[in-house]
Amino acid sequence: MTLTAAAHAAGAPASARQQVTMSGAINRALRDAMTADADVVVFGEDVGTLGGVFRVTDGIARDFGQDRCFDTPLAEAGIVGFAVGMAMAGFRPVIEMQFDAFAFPAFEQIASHVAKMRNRTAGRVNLPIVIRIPFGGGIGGVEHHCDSSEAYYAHTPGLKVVTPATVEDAYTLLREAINDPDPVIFMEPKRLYWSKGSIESAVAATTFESFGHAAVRREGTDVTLVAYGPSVDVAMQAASAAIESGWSVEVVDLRTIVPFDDETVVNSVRKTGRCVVVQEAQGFAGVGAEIAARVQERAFHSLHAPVLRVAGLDIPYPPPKLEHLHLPGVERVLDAIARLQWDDNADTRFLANASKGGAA
Amino acid sequence: MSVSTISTTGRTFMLPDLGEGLTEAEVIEWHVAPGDEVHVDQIVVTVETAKATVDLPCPYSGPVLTLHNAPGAVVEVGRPLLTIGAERISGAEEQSGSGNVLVGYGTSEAKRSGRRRVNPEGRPTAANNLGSDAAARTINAPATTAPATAAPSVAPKVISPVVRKLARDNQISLARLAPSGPGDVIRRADVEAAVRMGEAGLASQEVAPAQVPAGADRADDIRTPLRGVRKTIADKLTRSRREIPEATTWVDVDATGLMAAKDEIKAVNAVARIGLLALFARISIAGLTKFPELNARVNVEAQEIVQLRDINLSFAAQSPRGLVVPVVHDAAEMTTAELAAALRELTELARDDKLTPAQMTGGTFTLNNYGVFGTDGAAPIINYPEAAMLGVGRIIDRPWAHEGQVALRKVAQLGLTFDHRVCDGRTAGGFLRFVADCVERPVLLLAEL
Repeated sequence: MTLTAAAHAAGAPASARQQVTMSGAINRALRDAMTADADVVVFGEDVGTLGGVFRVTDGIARDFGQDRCFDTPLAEAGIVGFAVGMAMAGFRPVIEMQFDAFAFPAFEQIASHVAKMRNRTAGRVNLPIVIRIPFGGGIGGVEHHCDSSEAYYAHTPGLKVVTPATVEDAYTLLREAINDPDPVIFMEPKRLYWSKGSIESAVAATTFESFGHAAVRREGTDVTLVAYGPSVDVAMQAASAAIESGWSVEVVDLRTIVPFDDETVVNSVRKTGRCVVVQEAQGFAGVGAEIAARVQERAFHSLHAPVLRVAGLDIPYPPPKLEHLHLPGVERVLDAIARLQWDDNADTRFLANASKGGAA
Repeated sequence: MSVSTISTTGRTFMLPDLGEGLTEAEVIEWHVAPGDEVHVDQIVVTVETAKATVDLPCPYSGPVLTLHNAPGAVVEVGRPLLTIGAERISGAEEQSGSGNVLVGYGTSEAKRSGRRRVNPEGRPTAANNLGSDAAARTINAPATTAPATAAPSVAPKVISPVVRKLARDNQISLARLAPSGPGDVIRRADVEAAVRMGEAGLASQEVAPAQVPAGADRADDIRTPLRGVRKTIADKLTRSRREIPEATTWVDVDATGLMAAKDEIKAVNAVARIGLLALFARISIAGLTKFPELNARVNVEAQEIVQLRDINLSFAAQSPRGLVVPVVHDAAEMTTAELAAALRELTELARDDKLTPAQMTGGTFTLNNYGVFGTDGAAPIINYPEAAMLGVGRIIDRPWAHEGQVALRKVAQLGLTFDHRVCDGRTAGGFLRFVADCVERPVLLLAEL
């Protein structure tokens, strides 16, 4: 892993460097990509004059001109369809779906055309499109504005699904996504937009690590927390809190959900023997379920306990005042870790006939 | 059933799908006539397809009303063969089926893929899923028809895969453990306790773990108590596999030279009756002298490797009661003629079941001539507590690169299985290469004398 977790690095050396926000890092990545390649264009709702509702495209239209960065009508299917046409004509569109749920009107374009064009044309037409989607909750938003929609895309063959958890990764992964010859769903954790870190070394780099490499953000020996995007931060906090209970927690940040880095995840679980998957999205049929399945398939005989998931509740996104109950937090992660059969007593939650004996 | 229709007059047995995409069959011979009483699964007709001649069992019982086709007629799949009257069998009976599935359609409702799944115990996977024995009888019988048994209805619950593996590695039968955890879950502590008990002297459990619960079996399975010679063999092999981390290396060798040497010796000294086994014994002894690390045993308790001064050559022989391994003591002190005589004598004693215990103990290295079974190679189990075994495959004519051309040569495969604790691949390979070189050019032995 050549990329360090700037956001989580020890305070002293990081603060010596210039700190930028994640939205700033994405802005910088867009600018650097547009400078490097005249075919890169940015468009979407309010990304031009306004500079995006999260200020991600701030100043880009001003600095690169209306031909390179422009506003579109409020019609997401049209935005994606337009990008398909531009990509076929040789451009590299980077488009924004203003909020996670706003991408759903474009889902038909994404799932049926963006994802399938290379296959449909037997490899003759590839679509170098990046679809940026601010996603996830934790910002006091309402429904339509807080969904975690990664599973829909991860389930669709033909799409790469990427989500940064650190400021540096936001820069690096977006540069890599724009360079990618195929469509990439780039999911930006809204609640991390204002997190800070350094991107100096990433900006200075001339090449970027290819997709499919997870990062061990924190090493530990007792249990592996697998997370991505906004949940990495939760996992890191839980890992710190777990020290009090005597658990040494390893945190793996997937970075790219598709392609999936089985090797890093499985090696970690083989080492620790226990695994908890953390995702903010609703748990049922989510990405976390896929991760849990892959882990138990590949590391079965290393497991001291079932692979557990900590996820959002299986409900529509709740009103702002209730979202703290919905989102998986440190306490729920620690509760899951506690269930991992540390004392040679079975986890009784799903155990039939469990009244015998003394374990809780 | 799909192959039948039920009418007011009776049930008509249609020509079933005989598999493999066959669409028709010729009626060869009827085994029943109108008016005969037939019972379920009685063979009623012989038909011939493009593939085979097949006897068809009838799925119904009752009187035969009609034979729809004369011998010689070609019947399409799904067309009537014969109609059975009256006695309507109950739905339940029909469902249960007869289990007769010889010709690929049978009377069973369940459809299976027919593909056998391999698993370590050689049992159908369904049985493992049930955790008991239920479906172990036959792959074709629906699980529901398996007889109820006293065995547990669910698999033993284990706290984790790691503990399950711990039990398996120690040959602990999970079905026999008493779970101490809530919900009847076997905990690590339970397995560890069983391991300690096993070490304390439950030898019988060590040797024959009841991995297949007794209830899994049919009453008419053939059961042979594991005792006497079979038990001794089982104990020794089990102990070897459990304790010795063996590795095997092998090489193909041109034995033409050794065969010629044997013939030459015979020409000048027929009385000594020096055969191939004696020559291999001689070569092995020379090899062990050169690589004494292989003439050894590991003493686990003392945590030491004991390299032995005497070479006592074990060799595999057949007795009326099974495999025995007689020992030529102090083999290094013998001439080749003496070796041949000793091997011959011990082989005869084995055949007559007259070996004394002393003649079967104290071996330090085994020569295993499995070529007598017509096989080329083997991955043998080391003769505990020895450290190595030389295996000799059959010697047959094979094309072989010889002096720049392909020639028919007497070729055999030699294999060395060794206890990896006593030495590494370099030593084992060196020994095996030395043996191979001597087989190819027996005159090399002169240099080692």
